[in-house]
Amino acid sequence: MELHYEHQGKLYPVRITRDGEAFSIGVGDKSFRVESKETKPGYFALTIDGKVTKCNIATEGNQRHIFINGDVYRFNRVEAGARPADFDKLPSSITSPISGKVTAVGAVDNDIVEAGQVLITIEAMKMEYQIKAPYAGKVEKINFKLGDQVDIGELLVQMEKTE
Amino acid sequence: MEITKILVANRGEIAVRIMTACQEMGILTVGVYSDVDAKSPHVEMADETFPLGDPTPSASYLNMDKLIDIALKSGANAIHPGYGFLSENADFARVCAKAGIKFIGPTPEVIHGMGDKIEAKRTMRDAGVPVIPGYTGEEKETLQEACQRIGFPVLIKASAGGGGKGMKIVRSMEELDEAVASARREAKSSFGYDELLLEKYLPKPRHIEFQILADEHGKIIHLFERECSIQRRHQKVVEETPSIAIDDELREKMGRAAILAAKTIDYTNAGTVEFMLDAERNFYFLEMNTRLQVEHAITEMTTGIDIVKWQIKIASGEPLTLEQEKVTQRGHAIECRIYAEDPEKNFMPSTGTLQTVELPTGVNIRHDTGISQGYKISPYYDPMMAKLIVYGEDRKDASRKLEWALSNYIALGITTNIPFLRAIVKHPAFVNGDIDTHFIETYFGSWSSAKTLPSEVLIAAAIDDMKHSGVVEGMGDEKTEHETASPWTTVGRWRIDS
Repeated sequence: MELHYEHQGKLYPVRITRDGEAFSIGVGDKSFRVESKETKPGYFALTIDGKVTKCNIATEGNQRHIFINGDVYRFNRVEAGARPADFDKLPSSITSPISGKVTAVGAVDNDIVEAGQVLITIEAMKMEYQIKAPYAGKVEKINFKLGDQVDIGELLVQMEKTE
Repeated sequence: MEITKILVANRGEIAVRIMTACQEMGILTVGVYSDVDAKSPHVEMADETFPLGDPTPSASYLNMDKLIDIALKSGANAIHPGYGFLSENADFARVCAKAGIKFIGPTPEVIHGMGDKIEAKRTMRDAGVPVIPGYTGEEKETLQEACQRIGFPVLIKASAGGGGKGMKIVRSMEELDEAVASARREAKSSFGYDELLLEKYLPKPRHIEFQILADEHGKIIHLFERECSIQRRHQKVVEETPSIAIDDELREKMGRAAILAAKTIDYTNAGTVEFMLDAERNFYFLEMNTRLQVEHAITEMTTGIDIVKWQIKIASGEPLTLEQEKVTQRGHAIECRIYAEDPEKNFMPSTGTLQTVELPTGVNIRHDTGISQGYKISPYYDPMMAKLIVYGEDRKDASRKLEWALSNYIALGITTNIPFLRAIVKHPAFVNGDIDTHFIETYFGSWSSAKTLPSEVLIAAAIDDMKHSGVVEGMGDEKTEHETASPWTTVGRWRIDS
């Protein structure tokens, strides 16, 4: 079967087939013979071309969290045919990276703003987080006002980039 | 007064830490929890527990009426406030006393005096403790004039604050207005009080603090220093002891100043005197923290003294039996704070469920935590998940142990600062001990662990996905089996039965 993963806008197709007790796995133009043992749920001991690597996997929907050699990698499983362009296009909408309360609003609808201008300030856990314009452009719509409660992932500002 | 039952008015790792000390001493514990903390380890640990309801801090862990009510109802005769929340609230200490409950900490007057940073500096300056040049509001000048006199860069601080809240660095007159407005808002919302003060911003200062223990009979000792120079937005990230920046001569001088500071205000219980140390070995009193510190554990590792137990003993009126000359430090301890935050996204707190947690264990590795597998991190409280503390024969030994421990610390499901901590510990400036409070902004201003996915990672993902696609188990069509599942109904490892 062929699986597809996306990490920081880059696509990684992986081909995997059963090879007796082992797997034959193709990544890019390389091919590996891998034996896998799931020692307990989420804990894998992989023997990749004879070399043992231990890792830990947690899954959350399409998201994959993998701990390997002290590093954590977080990426997504995607549909076959997904294009990198779908992941890294310039965002016209700014979503909230945090849940909290709006303590300042630095622009109004239709304002022309500079890159880095503070658009909204959100307070969470008693710290202030400034949401800045990612580029120079026009603020189409600010969706929150002073004192509003914002949830993580909510659309804060709709922007249009100055060409 | 014999303390027989303690209400721990806190949550997370510090509540667990305090309850451990109580249990060792045979003292009963009362735990409190807001709605989102009902399943926390500190709740499981307490002998009795009481709900605080609404998780908003002001309605729960900052709610004095509720806490006093619970203390009285449960028959607790002492309250340990931990750190944060009500630990430096003089009113709370006063209310406890009024209700006949021993507040484990200094007196309300001392908390009040040191909580007001302006008054604290004035008191210390008058007592002969070195203090940094600044503006305290009594100088009869505008903030602009004060900035001109002190010289940029200038640090703005909330006079009632701590923990970096309300703090801003201003590098030019143009930045002043906005910074003042923001600092006032943060101060107001954190402390209900928006008075600000300014001070000279030292170019390469180290943060060195001294742990104090003072009994209620006038005896004061210090338990040496902790260096907490590695900070981000004035929140400490990595702390160690001893500091390699000071030698025995300076250590003794600073220790004497710390004791003088404590003596000046008739300090009682555990406390910390914070100093800034500049490159010319001048030190300045910064503030006094009238409570247990987050980083107290490193002092415990190198001195063998249990600070929390001493807090309780002192509060029950016992005399301090430790002698200054007999308190010694051995080896080197380093602590790092594990935060649920994303270092690559401007350190935004991350929330979610801790799906997998596997801690490094080994000789001289201490892990203080208040969360466990399956724990849901909410946006209501400080994002610190745990503290990892290591002890080694010397700084090099301790650093290498810390690096090993961080490399074997598995926490999946929530973005943490662990990769960032590893990068700090491995950085040549840290290794050489060439650190100051600007370490993070100097070397990690735009840190990113951005990397391409190694083959091993993709191989692991593919095997896991294939195993759970249905093909291996022979459950039918692989595609529909996996891809019709809603991303949010299959959560983590719990979909597997084994």
